[in-house]
Amino acid sequence: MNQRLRPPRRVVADRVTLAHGGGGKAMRDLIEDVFTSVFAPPGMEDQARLMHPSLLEPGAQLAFTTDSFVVSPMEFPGGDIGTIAVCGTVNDLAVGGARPLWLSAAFIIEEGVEIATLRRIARSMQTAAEVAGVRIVTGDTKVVGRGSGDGVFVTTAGVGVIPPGRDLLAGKVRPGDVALVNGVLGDHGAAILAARGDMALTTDVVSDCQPLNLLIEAVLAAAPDVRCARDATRGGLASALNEIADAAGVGVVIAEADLPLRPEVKGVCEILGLDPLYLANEGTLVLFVPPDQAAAALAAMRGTAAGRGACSIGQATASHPGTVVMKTVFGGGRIVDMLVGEQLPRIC
Amino acid sequence: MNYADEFRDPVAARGVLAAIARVTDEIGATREKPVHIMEICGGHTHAIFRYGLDKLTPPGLEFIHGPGCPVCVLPMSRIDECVEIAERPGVIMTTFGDAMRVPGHRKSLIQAKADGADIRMVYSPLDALELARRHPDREVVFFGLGFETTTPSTALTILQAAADGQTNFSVFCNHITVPPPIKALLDDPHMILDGFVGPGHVSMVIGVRPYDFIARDYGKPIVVAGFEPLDLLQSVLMVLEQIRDGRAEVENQYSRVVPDDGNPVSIAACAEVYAPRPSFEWRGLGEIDASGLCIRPAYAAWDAEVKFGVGYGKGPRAVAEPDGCRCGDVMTGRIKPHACPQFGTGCTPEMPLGALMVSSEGACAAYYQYGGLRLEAAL
Amino acid sequence: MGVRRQVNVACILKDEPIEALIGTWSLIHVGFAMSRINEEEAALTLDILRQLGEAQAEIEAMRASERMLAS
Repeated sequence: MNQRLRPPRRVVADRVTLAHGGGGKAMRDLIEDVFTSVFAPPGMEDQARLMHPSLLEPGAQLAFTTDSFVVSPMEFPGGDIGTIAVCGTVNDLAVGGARPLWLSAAFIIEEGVEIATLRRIARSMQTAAEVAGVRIVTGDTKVVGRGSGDGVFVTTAGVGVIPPGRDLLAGKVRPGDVALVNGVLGDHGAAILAARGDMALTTDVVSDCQPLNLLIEAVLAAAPDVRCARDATRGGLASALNEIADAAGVGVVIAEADLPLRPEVKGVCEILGLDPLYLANEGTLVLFVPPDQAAAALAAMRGTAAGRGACSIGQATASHPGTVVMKTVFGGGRIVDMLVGEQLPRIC
Repeated sequence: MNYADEFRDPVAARGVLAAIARVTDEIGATREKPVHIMEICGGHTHAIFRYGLDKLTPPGLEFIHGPGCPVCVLPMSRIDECVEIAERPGVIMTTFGDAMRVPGHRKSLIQAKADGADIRMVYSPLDALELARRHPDREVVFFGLGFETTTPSTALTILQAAADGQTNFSVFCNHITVPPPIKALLDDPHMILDGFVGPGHVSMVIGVRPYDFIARDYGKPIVVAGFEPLDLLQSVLMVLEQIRDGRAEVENQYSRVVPDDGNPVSIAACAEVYAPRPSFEWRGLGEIDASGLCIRPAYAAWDAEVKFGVGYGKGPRAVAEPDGCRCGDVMTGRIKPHACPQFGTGCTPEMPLGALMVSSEGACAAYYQYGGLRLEAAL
Repeated sequence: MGVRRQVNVACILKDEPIEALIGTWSLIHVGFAMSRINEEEAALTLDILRQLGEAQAEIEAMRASERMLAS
C-alpha cells in the first residue's frame, strides 16, 4: 500500500488526449486520479488477488461473465454508461443465481472526452457497485483517436459464487409456472430514445438501471424453487420470454392487461410506433416460479427496493411449445415473436 | 377523457362484437361463403393483428388486407433511387424509420447506412428541415413517403423551406393517394370485395367525398374508420349493416376527427406544392394512373428529383418484382398470405421478398409476426 | 408528465390567436396537429358504443337467468 504514502496524483488536462493512452505518466495520473481513487482496488498489480470464504464451501460454483457497454448518449436520465456497466454485469451474474463479488472495468476512451465526464462515470460505477455490494478490483484504459470510438466504451467482467444446491436454468421451467416481473417495462428504452434527441421528444421517464442481486436473494429465500430468472435487457421482455420458451420447450402466455407500463412509455411507443415489449430494460427481470410459490416470491420482491412494482404477467403452458402468445385486452391473441433486427420507429 | 382509451374498452367491445356476429348471420355469411371486407389502411391491418380482432369476429367475416401501407407498396426502383441520392457526397438522407429495411435491387437504406451513407431517422419532416439549418454545408434530403395523411406535412415543410430560403433542403417525393388503387382493385374482374373500411386519417385531410365513387359507381359500402379497436369494430358493423340493408353509402364513423370536407389548410398546401404524376408504380400492383404526386416546378428548388437528376423519366426503370412473389394476389384478396409459396421460407421479415412482408403494417408481415397459422395452432 | 414535442399547428388554426387552442385536443401526426378533436362527435360515437354494450349486457343477463331457470 505504498501509494498511500505519497500525495495522490492529479490529472491536469480537461480532456483526454492520446497521451493518456501512451503508457507514461499521463496515463498513470489518469488511472489513479479518475479511476483507482474512486474504486479503491485492493492493490495496484496487473491482476487482482482475491479470496472469499464462500468459494471454499463444498458444492459452490464460480460464476464468471463479461459484457461490453456502448450507449448513446453516455449520460441519460437515471444513469450513465458506468451505471449500466456495473448493473448489467451484476445482473448477468445474479439472474444465474450467483452472488456477485468482484468486477473488472476496462475503458476504451475516445480522444477528446472530458475528464469531468470520466469522473462522473467512475463515480456512477462505484455508487452502483456499493448498492450491489460488489467491488471493482481491476481494470484497464485505452485511448483511441477521435472518430475511432464514440465517447467511452466500457467492458466489465464479473465474478460471483453460486451457493451449493442453487441451479437457476431456463430449461427448468414447467407448464403452469407463473411469470413475474419486478416492475414497469421499457423505461430504459424510452428514456434513451428521448435522451438521444433525434426524435425531439422529451419525457420525465428515467432509466430503470439498477442492480437486481439483492432482489434475487430475497426471492430465493422466500421461494426456493424459482426455476429461472432473466433480465429483460436488449430486445426487452419479448426476447427474454422467447429465450425461456425455447430453452424449456414450453409455451408462454402473457396477458396484455397485466403488463406494467408507465403512461409516458406507452405514449412514446404510440408516437413512434414501437412495441414496449421490445424496449430495453436495465433493471427489470422476469422470473418463473412454481404456482404454489408465486405469492411468496411476489411478496419477497415487493419487499425490496428494486421490486416494489412486482406483479404477475402470465404463465408457462404445455401447449404451443417455444411460442409466446399475448392475450390482448380484447380477449384476442397474438404471437409475441423475437425481434427482427433492431426495432425501428414506424411513423408514416 | 383523452379520446383514445375510451375507444379501447373491452367491455364495450363485447356489444359491438355481438352485433357483428348477429348481422353477419343475418347476411347469411358463413365460413364457406364469407363476406369480404377490405380494410384499406395498413394502420387498420396492424390494429387487427395487434389486438387479435380477427380472432374475435365470426368465421363468416373475412378481412382482406388492402394496399394502404405506404412502405409496402413502395417500388424497389424508388428505394434504388433514394440510395443513389443518399450515397452522393455531402448528402444527409432523412427518413421515417419505416423505410429503412425496405429492400431495393441493390440494397436497403439500412445497408446503405452501413456502407457509409449518412442516413438518419426522423420523426417529422420539420426535423429534417431543422437538420438542414444546422448543417448549411450539407444537402439534407427528406424521403417523403406516405398517403394523404402525411402528404400535407411534407408540403408545409417545403413551404417553410421556401419561405426561409433554405436551399440545402429538398424532398424525394414518393407521396401517393388512396382512391386510385381502390378504383384499380374495383375494376379487377376477379374482385370479391363486399365493402370497405376506409382510412380515417387520410379522410381527416381529404374528407369523405373522394370515396363517393365507391358507393355510387361500384355499389359498395365504405365506412371511414378511426384506429382504436372499438372504432374499427364499429366501422365493420356499419359496413355489415349496409350490406344487410342493401345500401351502398359513404359513412363516417370517425366524425370526432374527420370533418366531411377534410382540412382546408392541408388541402390548400398540397394543391400549392404538388401536381399529380401521370402514373406511379405500386409494388405488387404495378403502374396506377394518377396515383402519385410530384413537386410542382415552382418548388423545383426543393425537389430532390430535379436537384439530383434522379427519378421518374431520368433513367431506365427495372419494374420487375421478384419471381414467385404473390403480393398482388394477397392484396386483391385472392389468396391468404400463407398460401403464397414464398411465405415464411423465401420471404420473411428478416429477408423480405415481397412488399407485404416489409412493414408490420403489411398483411404478410402481420401474419408472420403476430399470428396466422402459428397463432391458430397455438390457441 | 407525459411526452412533450414541439408541433406545427398551422392546419388547425382558424382565424384566431394561437391561445384559442389551449385546452383543446388534437390529433398529431409527424409533428403536425392535423385535426382538432370534435368533442361532441366523440360523445355521440361513444354513446352508440355504450348502447351496443348495454344491449349486449341485457341479452347476456337474460340468457344467464334463462339458464338459471332451466337448471
